[in-house]
Amino acid sequence: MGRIELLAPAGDLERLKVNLLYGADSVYIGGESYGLRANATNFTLEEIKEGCSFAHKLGKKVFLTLNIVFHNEDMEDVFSYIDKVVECGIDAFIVSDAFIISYIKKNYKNVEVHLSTQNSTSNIDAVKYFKNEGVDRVVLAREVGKNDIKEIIDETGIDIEVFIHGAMCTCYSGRCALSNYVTNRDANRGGCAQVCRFAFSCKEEKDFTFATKDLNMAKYIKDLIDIGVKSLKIEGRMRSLYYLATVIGSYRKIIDGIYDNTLTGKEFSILEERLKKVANRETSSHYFLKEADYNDQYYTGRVEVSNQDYLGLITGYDKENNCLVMVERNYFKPGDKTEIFTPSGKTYSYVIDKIYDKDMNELEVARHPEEVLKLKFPLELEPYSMIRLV
Amino acid sequence: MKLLVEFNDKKNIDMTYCDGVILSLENYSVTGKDTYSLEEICDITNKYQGKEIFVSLNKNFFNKDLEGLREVLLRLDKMNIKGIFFYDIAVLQLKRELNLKVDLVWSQTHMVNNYKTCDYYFEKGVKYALLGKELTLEEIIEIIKKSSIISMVEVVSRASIAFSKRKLLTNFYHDLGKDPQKELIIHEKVSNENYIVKEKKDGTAFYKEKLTNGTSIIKDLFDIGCSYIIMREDLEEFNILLKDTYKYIENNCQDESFILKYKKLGDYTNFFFKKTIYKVKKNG
Repeated sequence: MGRIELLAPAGDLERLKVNLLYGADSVYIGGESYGLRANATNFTLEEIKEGCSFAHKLGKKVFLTLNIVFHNEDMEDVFSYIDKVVECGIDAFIVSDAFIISYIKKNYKNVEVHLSTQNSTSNIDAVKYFKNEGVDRVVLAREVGKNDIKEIIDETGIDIEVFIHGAMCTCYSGRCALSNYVTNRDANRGGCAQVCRFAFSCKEEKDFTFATKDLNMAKYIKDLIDIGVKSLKIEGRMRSLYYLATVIGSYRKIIDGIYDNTLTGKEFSILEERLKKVANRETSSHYFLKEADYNDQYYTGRVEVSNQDYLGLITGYDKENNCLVMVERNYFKPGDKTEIFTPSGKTYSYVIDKIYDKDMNELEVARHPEEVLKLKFPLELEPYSMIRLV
Repeated sequence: MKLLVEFNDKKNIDMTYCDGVILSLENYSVTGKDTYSLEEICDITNKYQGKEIFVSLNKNFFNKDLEGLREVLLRLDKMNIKGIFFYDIAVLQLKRELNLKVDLVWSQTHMVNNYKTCDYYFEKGVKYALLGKELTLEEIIEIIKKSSIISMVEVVSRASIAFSKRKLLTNFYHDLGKDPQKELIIHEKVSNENYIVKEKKDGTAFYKEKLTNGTSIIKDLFDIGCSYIIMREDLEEFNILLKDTYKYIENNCQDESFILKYKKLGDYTNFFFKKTIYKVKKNG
């Protein structure tokens, strides 16, 4: 039996590549229609083809979200769209609306159907139903705890995917139309306005808020492996390259360390701290070991912390001047202690010395996001290496 | 076209001016009003023979619920029940496994939105569908025309709009250091709208405070051949509305004064005449 799958979110082609290079086994993407992130960049058919080709060369997979809840007007071209996406080389569709399942299974034996968490599937009998319908994998409701996950796997034998990291819905996925009613944006068709992060006034002295903390299951990866989960899913198709590189890279090390029996307590603490620093909200394991409770929510409205650690993406190497070329993201200055990290997992401690602009003019500080800068460094690094404050 | 009702309280049940009722089974149903034990449901089916008794089991089920769910379904199957409203697909699986005769109503709140999926579930043995409340009248009509499933449309209610497994009011009041309340009206500042939050044993439900007044679309539904409309007892003098609606349908929805009279229920028509936006921007 192979290792558990690490499944990453990719909002565009660059994120897809970063995820796979940093250790994801598979990525899930949205097409230009039918996905639940209508506001994301999303993939054209050409990009899907390129993404699949890139992934397959690495022996990895690409899944497409087709998980809106369809209205009549949305259905007209969906089957021809599926045909075109299959031609691009997609490995699986993540679906929510049941009428899609039989079309894919009937026409494409080698393409998997994964049932979206939007269906909030939470028990053995519901999973059995979808298994009988030909579904290959079920993404369980986020409300399902460890014991129930194990029972479902033991009883049904179907591939089970669970979320391990990222934002949580307050309500059952799919069973929430707050966005529709409050903002007229359809939550089940990709327009969710995250109303559960709004503050509502009420008769009490404080606003009513019901936003949840994010999910972080780093501590429980071994449990998930032991109970037979097939795939570990990271949330966040709209997250930054740095966030994805850090989260995927950290979970890759945790997973491999568990399988290889090399994950020390010290190393785990470093990875856990790294995950904590890149998060913009507090985290919890929510329903995994108990019912979610008071401690899993916020009571002060929208709480998000901006992360300033990410200094930039390394985009090349200036051999003439022995400099890394980078695109700046956040302010830094000479003397700052940093870490340069690469997709293959190498890290280099680095104290910022001199900062140059693209024409090798020395700068006092780096203060313009998106500016091309150069830093003296003796080695050329892999594409998509990054630099962060430590 | 038949008229189904959900009454606020078991004491209010009066079948004179409706064709049937929806009863929420205790411990197996969320977002409903009063709940009923199996014995009470049995009594009601015996008392109101000739009326259509539907039972709502619209919880999201977890493994621990399944054994009880089997027993409940077997007992309901022996009663004179017209149908079971369900959210969780486990109910459909168990209907197959247990070879139940009772009919099912696909009632996945915000997901019952197109004729193809309605037909999919019809082919899987589901007889009825309670259409999503986020549909336009045009979409409802298209589903009724194109799908083989028997459609139900909720026309008067305070719309149930979300459900969470979390104890959101308990947590909120814990944070305030106050005794928990089971109901709270909240106000969204930008849209200037109120919502009702209710916490029950299985989680927290959200409702739109404003009453959906679908009295003006009853004739359209009647004309298209809609089989059922649903009204929930969410207003004062509900019995008068019920009686008037029942008579209105009896007279083939010809009495225009009915529509004029019930303009007084307000002009909020939910999504019947308003599409939701879902593509906020086009890709560049």
